[in-house]
Amino acid sequence: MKLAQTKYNFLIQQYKNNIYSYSLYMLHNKADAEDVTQEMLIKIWKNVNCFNILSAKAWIIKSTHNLCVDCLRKRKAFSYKECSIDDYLSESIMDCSSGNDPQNLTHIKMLTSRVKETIQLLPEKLKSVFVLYEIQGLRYKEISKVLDMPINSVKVYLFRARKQLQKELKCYEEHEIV
Amino acid sequence: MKSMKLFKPENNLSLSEEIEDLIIKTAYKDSNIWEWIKLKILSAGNDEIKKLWDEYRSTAESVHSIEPEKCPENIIKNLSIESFSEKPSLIRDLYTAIFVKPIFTAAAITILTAVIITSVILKNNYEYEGYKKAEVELAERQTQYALSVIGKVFKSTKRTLVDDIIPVKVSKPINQGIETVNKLFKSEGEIK
Repeated sequence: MKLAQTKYNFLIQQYKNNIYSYSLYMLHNKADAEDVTQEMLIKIWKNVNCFNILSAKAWIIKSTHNLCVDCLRKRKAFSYKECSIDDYLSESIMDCSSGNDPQNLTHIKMLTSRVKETIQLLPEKLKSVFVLYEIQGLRYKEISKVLDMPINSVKVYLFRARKQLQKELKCYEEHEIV
Repeated sequence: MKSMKLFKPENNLSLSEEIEDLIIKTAYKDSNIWEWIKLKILSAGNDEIKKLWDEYRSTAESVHSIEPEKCPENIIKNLSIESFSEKPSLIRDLYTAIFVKPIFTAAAITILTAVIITSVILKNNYEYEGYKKAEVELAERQTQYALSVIGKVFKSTKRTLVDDIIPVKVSKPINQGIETVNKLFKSEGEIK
């Protein structure tokens, strides 16, 4: 059995969804998220012998975050505009056909996609902390390590993100009613 | 009275930062039981707090129901990374089994623990052909006692034999007999 290959396969199976999901939330574009994921997988392969498997999660998320930041910088430089915000929504509605109660499922899926869309609207720092804590399931200490910020800042950002998310959702609802 | 302090003095309708923080923490299940009780009491007497709490709770539930997006398989398939040409090694395989696949380590530890526990339990309850450990130990003690009694008997017998019987009953008559024989030899020599 080849150690590096086993290690790589294990890491990929374990973290591929986390990498892709985080990139998708940060970049809000499937193609860019796929590029970052692919780049990250190559980076893992190149460095597979350089890091301890037990501390791999923090390293992988940190590297993914850095790649996302680079991608966002490039995007700003080229004033890149994209509008794939409805990707989630279209997929969600399409998935609903398989459920038992289509109406209920559609409602749940719509609500979730609305939350997802609203998460996308959060500022970069708030979004990264929020996604890492609420969706990726990282703890304060891990987020502090990944994003190079004090734990108290993580807590403050998380509080602001939750508050802003609520505010945006409320605006969304009000807009819908009108 | 304490709940009054939690509202901004200039506007009773808008909630203070502290109470909003409490609502958010509780809605996202980051609070402890006391904070939850505190908010429950506050919300019971204030509809605005209750409404806000419900809103945050609903959002938190939606957020927690979101699962990480699944990575498309084509990303991994597109990566045609050549595998290393390493020779097979037992040390590497062991390292891999222990560190790369923690499930093996966990399974090995579980099996080892189970074996140790079972052996300890069996050792405490083992039986000798229908006799329990306690019965066997009692029998051993009784045997030792019996052997010690026999030992004492042998010792006293030896002492009696050496101190009383041999000198008086054996040595003395023999000495007397030898003395008699000597006397007879002496008297015969004198006659000659």
